Amino acid sequence: MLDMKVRVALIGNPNVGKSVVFNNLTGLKQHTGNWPGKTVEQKIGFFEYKGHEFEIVDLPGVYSLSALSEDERVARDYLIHTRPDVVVDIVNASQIERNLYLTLLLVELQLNLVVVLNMYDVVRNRGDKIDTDALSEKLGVKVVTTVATKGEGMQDLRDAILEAAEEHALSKERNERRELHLPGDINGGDHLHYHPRDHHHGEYERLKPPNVKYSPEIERKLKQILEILRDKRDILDRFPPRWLALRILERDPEVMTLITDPELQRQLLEVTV
Amino acid sequence: MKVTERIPESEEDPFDEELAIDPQIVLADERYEVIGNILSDVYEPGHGKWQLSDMLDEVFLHKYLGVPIFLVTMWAMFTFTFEASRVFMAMIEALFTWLGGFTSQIPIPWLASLVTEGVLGGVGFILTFVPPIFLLYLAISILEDTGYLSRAAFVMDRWMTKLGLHGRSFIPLLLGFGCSVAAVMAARTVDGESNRLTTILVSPLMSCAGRLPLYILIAGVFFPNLAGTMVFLMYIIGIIMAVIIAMVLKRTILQEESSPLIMELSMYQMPTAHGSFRHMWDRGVLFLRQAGTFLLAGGLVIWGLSSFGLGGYGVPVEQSFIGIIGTSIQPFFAHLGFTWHVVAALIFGFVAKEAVVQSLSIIFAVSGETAIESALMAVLSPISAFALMLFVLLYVPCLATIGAVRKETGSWKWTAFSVIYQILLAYAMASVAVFIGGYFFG
Repeated sequence: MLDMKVRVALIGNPNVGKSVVFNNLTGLKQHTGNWPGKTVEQKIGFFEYKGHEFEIVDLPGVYSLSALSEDERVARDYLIHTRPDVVVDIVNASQIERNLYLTLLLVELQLNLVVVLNMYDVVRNRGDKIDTDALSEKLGVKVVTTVATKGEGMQDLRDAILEAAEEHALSKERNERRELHLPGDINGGDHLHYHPRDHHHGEYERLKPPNVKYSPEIERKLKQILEILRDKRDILDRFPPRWLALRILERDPEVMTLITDPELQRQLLEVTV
Repeated sequence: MKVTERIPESEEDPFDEELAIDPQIVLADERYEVIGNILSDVYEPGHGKWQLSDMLDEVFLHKYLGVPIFLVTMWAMFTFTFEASRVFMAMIEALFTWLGGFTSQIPIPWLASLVTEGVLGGVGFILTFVPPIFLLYLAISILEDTGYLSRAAFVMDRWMTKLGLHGRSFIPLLLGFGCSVAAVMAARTVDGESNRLTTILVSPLMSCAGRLPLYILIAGVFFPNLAGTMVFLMYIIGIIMAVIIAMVLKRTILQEESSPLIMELSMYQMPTAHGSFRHMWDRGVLFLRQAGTFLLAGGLVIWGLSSFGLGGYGVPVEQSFIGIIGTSIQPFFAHLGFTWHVVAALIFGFVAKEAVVQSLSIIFAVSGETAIESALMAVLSPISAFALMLFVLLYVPCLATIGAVRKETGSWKWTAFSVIYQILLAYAMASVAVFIGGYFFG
C-alpha cells in the first residue's frame, strides 16, 4: 500500500513547539539547508515507523498563507505544488482560537491533515477540556493531543500520521474514473482534483470534500467562480479548485496575476462578497 | 508561482472597489465565526478558572471601549508626566539660576555671557526638561512592560485597517513616541514595499521626546491649567495627522494590499521596578548624551550667532546674525504671529527639536530677558503659541531622522519628499489653527 516514502510536512504558527515535535519525531536523522532560492531555513528529517519510511519537512512558522512574507510564500508554495501526503498542523492548544485560523486555511487546501493540539497541559491546568473527537469530526481531520516538551502523545501522533497516510493511499487507488472529474461541482466535491506541479507520485489526486463550509452566500459565490472558470483547465488543474475560488473571491494578488484574459478577469471581478 | 506586482492598472482599476469592503476581511471574519462555532461545541471551559489576563483583555480589547481606554490612558500618562515633573523642573531651574549668579560675575564680559547665556541658558535650560522626559519614558516603559502597549497597537489596528492602512505600521509608529529615528528604522518590520514606505514617511509625525520640552514650556506658560491635556492633544494630533497622511498616500501614490495584523499578545505582567527604571534609564540617557554633546555645541553656536553681528561682538540682538536671519524669514510667518526670535529658533530646530527651546532660551537671555516665560508671554499670543506647538509637532524632527529616512528609503527623492511635505503640512496646519483660533477667540 505504502510503497513509497511517505512525505509529511510540519506546519504551525510561530512558538507552538513545532521544532520540539520535529525533533521528537526524527531524533538526529535530519539535515538543514535553505529553501531553493530563499533565505528561509529548510529542515528535513526522517523516521521509520512500523516498517514504513517517513520524510518530514519542517515548514516555516506562519500565521496565515497569504504569500505576503517570504515564510508564508515558502509554506504555501510547498503545500500547493508538492502536495505532501500528510500535513501535520501543530496548534498551541492554549491559544486554540487564534491557531485554528491557520488550520482552516489548510482545510481550504483540502490537505490530508493531522491536527496536533500541543501544549495540552496548559489547557488541562486551566481546568478546561477539548473534545478531540468532536473537533476531529467537525474539521474532518485527525486530532491528537500532545505535550511535546515532555514527549507526551508522540506515539499517538505517529499512529495518526501512519493512518492518515494509509487512507490517503487508499483513496488514490480508488481514483480510477477520471471522466467524472468535473470542476465546479462543489457539493459533490469528491470529484474535485488537480495536478500538483512537483508531486512525487505524479498523479491526479482525489480530494476529500471539505468538512468546513462557509455561509451559503459565500459557497454560492465560489460555485459561481468555478462556473466561470469551467473550461480554463490551465488554471484549474494547478490548484485545488475550491481553494482557487476562495483566493479569487479574496482577490489574492498572486492568484489574480494568473488570470490574464481581460474578459475573464472582468467576469471574475464581478463576483464579490 | 511567482510573486508579481499587482495587475497593471487600467483606467478603471478593478481593485479600487476593494477599498469599500476588503474581501479578505470578510473571509477572515467568516473563518473566525466558523472557529467560534466549532469551539463552542468542542471547548469545555473549566469552572471559575477565568484568568485575570483574559478578563483584562475583555475590557481593554473591547470593540468600542478599547479606543477610549487607550486615549484616557494616554491622557493620564501625559498629565502625570507634566504634573509630577514640575517640582523637579523647578529644582533644576533654581540650581542653574544659582550657578548663573556666579558665572555672571566673571570679570570678562564676553566669557560671562558665553557661560551664563550660552552654556547655562542653553544646555542648562534643556536639562530642566530631563524630569518630564524621564517620567514619560518611565510611563511608556511601564505600559510596555505590563503588555498594554502591544494591546494598544491591536486596538488601533482595527481602526487603521478600516481606514485602509496596514495594521503592523502602528508598532513603528508607537516607537515614534520615543524617537523618530527608531520609528523610521522599525518600519523595516512592515510587509510590502509601499506599506513600508508609507510608514517611513508618516512616522516622523508621531511626536517624539525631543518635542516634549517645547510643549511643556509653551503649555506651562500659556495654558497652565490644561498643560497635561495640551501635551496629550499634541500627541493625538500627531497620530491623527499620521493616519490622514498615510491614507492620502495609500489612495494616491502608494497603493498596496493590506494584510491583517496577527500578533502575539503575551499575558499581562506586573512590571518590575527594576525593569521599568532600567528601560527609562536606557532611553533617557540618550537624551542626556545628546544634551552633553551636540546640544552643548549647538548652544555655543547659537550664542555666537546671537552675540555677534556685522558690527562685531555686543551688537543689539536684533542686529546679530541670528537676528538678521530671523528677521529676513519672519515675514513668511507674520500671519502666524511668530516674531523673529521664534522663527530663528525654528530654523535651529531643523538640527534637533530640542534646539528650538534652547535657541529661544539663549536668544532671550542674550537680549537681557531674565525669564523666558515672561519673554514668551510678551511676544506670543496664546493662539500663536498653540500654532507654534503644532508647527514643531509637524515639521521635520531632526537631521538624524532625515538621515534615517534617506538610509531606509535609499532614495533622495523620497527623502526630499518627506522633508518638503512635513514643512508644508506644518505651515498649513499652523495657519489653519491661527485662522480658526482668530475667528473664535480673536
